[in-house]
Amino acid sequence: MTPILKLALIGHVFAGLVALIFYYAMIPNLIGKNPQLNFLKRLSLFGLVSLLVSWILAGYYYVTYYGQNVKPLIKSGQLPWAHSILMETKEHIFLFLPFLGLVLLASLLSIKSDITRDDNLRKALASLAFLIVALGTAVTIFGVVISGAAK
Amino acid sequence: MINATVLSAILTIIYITVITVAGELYPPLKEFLAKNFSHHWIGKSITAILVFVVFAGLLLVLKPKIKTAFLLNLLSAISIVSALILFSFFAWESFR
Repeated sequence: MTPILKLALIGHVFAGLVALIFYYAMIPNLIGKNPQLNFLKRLSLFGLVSLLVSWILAGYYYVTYYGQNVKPLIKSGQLPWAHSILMETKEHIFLFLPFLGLVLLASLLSIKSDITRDDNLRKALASLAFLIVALGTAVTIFGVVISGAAK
Repeated sequence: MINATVLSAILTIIYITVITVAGELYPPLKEFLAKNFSHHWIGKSITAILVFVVFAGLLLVLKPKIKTAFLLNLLSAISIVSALILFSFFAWESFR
């Protein structure tokens, strides 16, 4: 594996985890009594940027290296389902995340009224942030199993 | 603007799920994406962005009058269902 591929592999995991931290940090602020809109906008923006970075790095690694070098190893090993179920699910569920992140950011940017007055909206946004964290966590766990299966 | 974005995201996630399952069940579709975008996953990524942009543009004009909170919850629900569909589909395909 070239240094750039190693960087892409490690980088996509790091960027993804950073994104999850930003989205996780949004949840208590959204469900709390005094949501700070500017803070939420910043977290949402940084979260989206992190997801986009992860998307690009993961894509580079996946397209240039994984298919030819790692996938055959997993499929011929003791845990072939690590690719056929987990990797296949992971690579497609991941595609949801940038769009969910974009919606969260767009929602926060477009709020004109006091967010503290709209409980339903705050809860819906908190649910969306939680969903991003949940899906991202699943993607991460799948990645850990896939890495183990490749050894 | 926000309703257009949320609805577009809903349609995009449905699109990603449908194109993924369809590509596995009908290999020429997956091959079409691979041939035109160098890799099927890149093809799904790019076409998903296109779907999002096109529908966002269309819905910005149509301006659907639906409660934003409802649409956000619908987006979350559809994302969960789509994720479960994908996982179940690949599990079924793996063991058949």
